[in-house]
Formats: sequence, structure tokens, C-alpha cells
Amino acid sequence: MKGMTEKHCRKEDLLLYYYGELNGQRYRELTEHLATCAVCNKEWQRLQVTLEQVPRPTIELAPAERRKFAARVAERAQRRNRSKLWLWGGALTATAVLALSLIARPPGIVPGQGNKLVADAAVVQELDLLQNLELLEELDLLQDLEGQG
Amino acid sequence: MNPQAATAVVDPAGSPECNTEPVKVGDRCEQILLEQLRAGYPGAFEQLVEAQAARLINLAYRLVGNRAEAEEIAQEGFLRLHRSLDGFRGDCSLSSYLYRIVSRLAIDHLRREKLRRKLFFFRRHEDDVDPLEVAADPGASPRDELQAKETGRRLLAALDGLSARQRAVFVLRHQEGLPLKEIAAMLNLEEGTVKAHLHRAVRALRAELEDLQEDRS
Repeated sequence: MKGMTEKHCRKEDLLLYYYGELNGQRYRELTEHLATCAVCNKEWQRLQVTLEQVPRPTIELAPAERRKFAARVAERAQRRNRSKLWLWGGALTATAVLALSLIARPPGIVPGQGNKLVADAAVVQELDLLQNLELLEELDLLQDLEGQG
Repeated sequence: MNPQAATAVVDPAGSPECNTEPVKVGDRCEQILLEQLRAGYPGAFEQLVEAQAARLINLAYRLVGNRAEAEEIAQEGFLRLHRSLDGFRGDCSLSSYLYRIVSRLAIDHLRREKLRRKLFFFRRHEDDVDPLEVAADPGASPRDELQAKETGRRLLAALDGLSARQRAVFVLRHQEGLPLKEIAAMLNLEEGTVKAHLHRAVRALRAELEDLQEDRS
């Protein structure tokens, strides 16, 4: 900020000046400069006007509204706690069931093998049925031939 | 205007980070309340919410510009505090901690909203309470009121055009009166970055206002 009397001040510095964010030395320099420089002073006035026009919207909450809000939040916090307990309970139960089923399983059976055998048996049954159908068709054919003969 | 007497050092599990300044927790009542909260004292949490609700809802309202959304954000802030009570070291005041959570939640919300609006040309409901009505000066003449409303509307539109962080920095500095250093700690940013955000925000607001003044003249 040296040579501020010759140079105009930066807008960033004016902004920090407005919010009281400049340190003591810089603050004093800028104050002195604004007192002597018409251009910067005008800019400073404009900045002030703009910022003072920015509204500060405020919601007035009545005590009853505050109480209602607090009760709602507290209730939700309790619900979260309860659901957390349920979640833990569910996870523990599932783990226990899994552990028990693994312990209770007879030795020698590989999981999944049983299902495969059942599926294979179904295929064999279907093949048998197809063969029977073919035999029946052949029987019909033989009977037709006999009839013709 | 500064609502935060103490600086914050909060839980390490992904929660807002610490500040470097010495801790000055002067509020004895708050300490008692915190102890009650940790001990699971019935009604303590509700009491805390009731005491802090107005301040936090207003902070969120200034940040997002919509009452229903502000209440949701404040509520989520309280719930997060409730969840992280075990990790809360108590090096900062509860109110500082809540202020920090709500600011960050509001920034996330603003980002999501912006994206949603970009994707779906989303507009906010027309029946929302107008923030300018809320901020109106009851003693002003109808003409002044109209002009102030128009100015305010343009400025709020300009605020909507800012990035989430720029808006948050502006609101926290201008409307909440927090020092830039504290804002930097709160948003986990460098102080220089905060200054840059503030400058850009004010530049955008001024541009909007100057357009308005040109329109009037």
C-alpha cells in the first residue's frame, strides 16, 4: 500500500476495509488515503451503499414453533437410535442363523451338490418321457402298417 | 454480531476440523448440557435444539433462501451432532460446532440444487415465503418499500448466481458477521481463498446493483 497517495487503492482492500479485516497499519494508510483521494472516496461510498442495501432476511420463530421443531428433531434422533438397534439386532440374528446352519450341516455334504443332483434327475426323467413318446409313435406306425398289411 | 466466542476443535471422524486458536469455552450451561447429553439425560437434546433452533434455522435460511429447506438442514445438523456426541471432544462450543455443520450442509445443498436446476430447469415453488417480505422495514413508505424490494430481489438473484462457496462466504461475513479467519476454519479453506470468494461475491452483487441503478436513471 506504499505510494497510496499517487495510486488508487484496490477494490479488494476497500472491501477488507469495510469489513474491518485490514491490520492496523494498512487500515490507517487506507483511512488517510480515503481522506485525500476523491476517486477512491467515491468508490468507497458506492461500496458502502451497495453493501448496506443487501437485506438480512430473518425468520421469527415463536416459542411454540421452536418447541415443535425441537420435539420433531428429538423424535427423529430417537427413531434413528431405535433403527440402529434393529439393524444391529438383525445383523446379529443373521450371523447366528448362518453359524448354526453351518454347525448343524451333516459332514460330507458339499453345499450346492444336492441341488445339482435334483436337477440332473429331472433331466433324466424328461429324457425317459421323450423316449416313451418316440416308442408310442413307433407303435402307432407299426399298427398302421399292420392294418395296411 | 459474532455468534462464536470459541474456536472449534471437533471430532476426528470426518467432522469439521480444528482451529488453531486457544479454546475459550465460557458457557457453563452448555458444558452441563453436553454432559447431560452424553449421559443420555432425557430431554437434554430437545432442550439444546430448542435453544439453538432459531439461530441455526436463520443461518440456513440466509444460506439457501428457503424456509422449508433451511429447517431440513438445521434438523440434519442437530441429528449429526446427536450421532457424533461420542466423538465430540468439547474443545469448542456446541453452538460453534452446529454452526459449522449447518454451513457445510447448506453448501452441499446449494451445490445439489444448482446441479438439479441445470439438469431439470428446476424452479423453486412460487408459494415460498419471500425473504424480502421477511426483511422488509415496516416503517418505510410504499415507494421506498417497492424500491427496496426490487433492489433486494435483484441482489438475491445475484446471490443465487454465485457459487455455493462464494455465497456461503458472503453470508457468513456480511450477514452473520463472522471474521474471515473463522470462516476459513469453518469451511476448511485458506484465508486467501475466502477473501477471493468474498471479493467475487461482492463484485457480482455490485454489478447487479449498478445495472439496477442504470435502469432507474
